[in-house]
Amino acid sequence: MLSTIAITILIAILHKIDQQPAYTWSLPVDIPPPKTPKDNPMSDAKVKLGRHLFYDVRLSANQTISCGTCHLQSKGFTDGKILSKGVHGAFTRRNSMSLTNVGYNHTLTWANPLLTQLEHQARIPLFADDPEEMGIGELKQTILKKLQTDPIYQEQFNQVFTQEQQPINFINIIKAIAAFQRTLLSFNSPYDQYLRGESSNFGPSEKRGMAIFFSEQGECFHCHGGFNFTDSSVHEHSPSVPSLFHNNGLYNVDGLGGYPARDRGLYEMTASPQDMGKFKAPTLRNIAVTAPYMHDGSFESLEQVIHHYIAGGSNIHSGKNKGFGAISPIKSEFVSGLNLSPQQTTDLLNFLNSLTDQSFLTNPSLSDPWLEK
Amino acid sequence: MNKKNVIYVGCILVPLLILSYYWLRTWPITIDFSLNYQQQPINCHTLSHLDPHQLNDFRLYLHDIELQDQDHNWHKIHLQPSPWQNHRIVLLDFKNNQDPCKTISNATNQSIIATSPIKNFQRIKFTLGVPFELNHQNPLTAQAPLNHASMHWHWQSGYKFIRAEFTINGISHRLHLGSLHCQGEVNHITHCNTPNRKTYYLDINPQQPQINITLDQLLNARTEERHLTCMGMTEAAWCATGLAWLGLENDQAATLFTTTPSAPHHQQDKH
Repeated sequence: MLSTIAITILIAILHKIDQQPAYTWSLPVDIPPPKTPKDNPMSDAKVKLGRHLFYDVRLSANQTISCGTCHLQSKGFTDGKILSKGVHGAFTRRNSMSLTNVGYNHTLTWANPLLTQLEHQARIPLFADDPEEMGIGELKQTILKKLQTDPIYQEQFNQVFTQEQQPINFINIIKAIAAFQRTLLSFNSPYDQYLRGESSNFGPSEKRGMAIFFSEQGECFHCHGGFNFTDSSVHEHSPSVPSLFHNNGLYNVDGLGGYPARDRGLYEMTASPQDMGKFKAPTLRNIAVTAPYMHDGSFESLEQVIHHYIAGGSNIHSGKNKGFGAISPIKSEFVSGLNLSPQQTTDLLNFLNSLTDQSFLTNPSLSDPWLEK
Repeated sequence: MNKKNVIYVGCILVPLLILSYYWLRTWPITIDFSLNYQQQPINCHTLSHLDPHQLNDFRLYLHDIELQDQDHNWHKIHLQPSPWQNHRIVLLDFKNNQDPCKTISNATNQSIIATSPIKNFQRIKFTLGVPFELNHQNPLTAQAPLNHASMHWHWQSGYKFIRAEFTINGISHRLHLGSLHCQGEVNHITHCNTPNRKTYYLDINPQQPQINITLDQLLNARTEERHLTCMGMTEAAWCATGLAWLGLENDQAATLFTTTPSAPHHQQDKH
């Protein structure tokens, strides 16, 4: 009897110890929080640490590049470039992706079904060498030593990763950056304000554009639907879903829907012919500030993107990528061409512009903390 | 314990000890590798001979190394743990692109150091790459020799089994290859459709076990391109050459590994 009570008390104590202090997400009531891995619970101190690391150029081979170099807050955490330059001048293979609401992404990067956690994705820009981005490679120890002697980090890491003798290591660096990234939350655009019944700049043209966006005429929502305007979204309460990737008829170099050899999307990961040219549908939140568009940054403006979908694909008349994407036999069935009047095109564009969340793009708690010092 | 019992126990123990000495007896073995191009051994120090050819990086993982006795039985050898080896895997390193050849004696590894359960052997087998069970772990927590970030193929979730980089007549050549077309999620990879592991069988001299890695087939590709790369996509400019050299294409005989066996023997067997 006594032992039963003792065990019950012990279990209760252990349970109490095990419980992390609840983290308060900065989210509207109707938006569920992002999924977080069990071994990387959120805390304010960890987010603060992650913010410092996200913007720290010491995390690159020659102290010139931080995560924030290719993910600028003012551009929805993209960099406005077609491709981004790594530490030694090599270009990335693909266009810098928006980190808007990145915590909800079911898969990360443009076309990699294996990457489902920010903690795993972070290893690519930090350590990969084909091409080099931040180029740490074998310089791990050198870089760690720099961070380990910084009093700011000594204090912050000890506060977050208590119990650890030397908490300043790459596992914890990556955990903290991921925690910060999960706070890149954008749900306060004029569109969101309109849905909440607040007064906003969401006028008649935006409303007409919204109707087109969510209609079978526009077809946009099939791939860019849901609370995060992408079908590749999960949240804390959602079931596991298959990874979704689409071919949008951007290229058709061989008449069979083939993409240029320099980038064939999901096909590179699976070698399945049906995966040729498939990429993830990125979020459209803050899309107006994330030009250029598509995985290869081949469109300069949203107008060009809309015209691509009106045509049902891109027709390239000369050069080595010559081909008619609009007649690609393997493109998504939802990219079949749109019948939009000039006014409707403007309305759709205005709707996309209404997804820009200025409070997110200027939120001081997401900005570079090193500039404050 | 009385005298009688001591004799009984001794009668059992002594033969057991003698037998186990023979059963468990092992011999130290060092298997040396050399890198060759155009009939010349190459490494960091001899690069100048090959100018304008340059070796920038040449590293590869091998695992499950076994020796065959005269009765055609295979015996596992026991790798001695070191920064270059764990119990199953060895990392061979002829040139690490992070190292400017200054610390060459410490920075590279061109041998397998092990103990063998047999003294006389005629053949060796080993597999290129990292075994599946160890290939998809977190590289930040992995133990040597899997702790080299530059040998991890982050976007494919496993290791580069071979990393070979050269500059030949001003043209950069880069071959990175590991398991491809994997399924699951990082840290929970269930299967890879293109594992890219290959087992090699070679005759070998037990007195002086030496294996040559010959680059000629790999580097003799004629090309107009400025950059020759192969990252596993078979359409890539250098993949036909690279995969054939490794023996990964259509089960062709690989040309990269050769040995000079001691005594001639003409069996075709032999796996």
